[in-house]
Amino acid sequence: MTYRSERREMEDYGFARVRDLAFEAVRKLWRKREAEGWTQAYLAERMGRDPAWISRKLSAPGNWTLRTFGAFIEALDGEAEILLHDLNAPNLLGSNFDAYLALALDRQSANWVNSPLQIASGIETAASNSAPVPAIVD
Amino acid sequence: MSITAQLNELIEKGLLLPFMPRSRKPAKRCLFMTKDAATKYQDMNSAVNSLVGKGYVDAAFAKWVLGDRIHNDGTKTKRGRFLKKLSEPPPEIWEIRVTDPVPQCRILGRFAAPDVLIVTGFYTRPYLGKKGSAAWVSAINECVDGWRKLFSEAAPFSALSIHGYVTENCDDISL
Repeated sequence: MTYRSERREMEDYGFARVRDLAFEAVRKLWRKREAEGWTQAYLAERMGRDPAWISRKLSAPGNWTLRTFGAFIEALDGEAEILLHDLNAPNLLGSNFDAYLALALDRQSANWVNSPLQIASGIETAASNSAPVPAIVD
Repeated sequence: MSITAQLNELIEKGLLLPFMPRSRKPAKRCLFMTKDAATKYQDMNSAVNSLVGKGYVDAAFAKWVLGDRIHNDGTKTKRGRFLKKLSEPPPEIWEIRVTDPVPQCRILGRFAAPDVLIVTGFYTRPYLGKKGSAAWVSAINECVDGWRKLFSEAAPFSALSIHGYVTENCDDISL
């Protein structure tokens, strides 16, 4: 693998994660508005768009741009707030392997498969920076 | 032997590889790859990695493991659906649908327990072709074989609704 493709993978990963999280945030607010009585036709009218466009956009984040996010957030009477975590900072929350620990998985004995970000950057995971966790025996 | 004990044994033998994205968030669900699937996942010359991009696969895995909202509204429209159970037989074959990149990607697997997915293979969507194609049949057989290699005749986990498979943060409401 070339240096360039590693960087491209990081870019793809970062883009997909941000877009998915933003989409879910918009969809969550839409669910709230829907429960309050809003309809897609009403939202379409507020956005000056075709109802079919609204339906398509709310069903999947494909082709969403920052402009799409902004348009939905405003039309839904929302306000965006962005929070970035520093993955290189110590994780004061301790282990983040909760679901795996519930399976009594011995973290030390497993060959973990991780995202390309770690491989590319050579930085240990936030997870692996956390305190060792004893295996739980069922 | 309990499923927990089985998983631990397979992990210790290196036959199952757990996935954890780089994140501060806790793992809410589990994803394991069979040894064959992990080999494909790590092969940068594989069709999925070279055509689709490993970053999109990782993002889908991160979404699963970190407990992000999963959409499976059960309607005929597949748009926006992240997880889908394939038509039987054979039973209990699931696909993760990575639909953003072109070409798209499908990841096949089975549930070992609620929120515990065993990934057996990665395929580009164009390779699989139309429903019922030889490539689909082959991919499904690979999934069944991969499962049998690990769990012998033990049946995969089965539930009556999507909420039995995905216990939290799962959306089954149609938009």
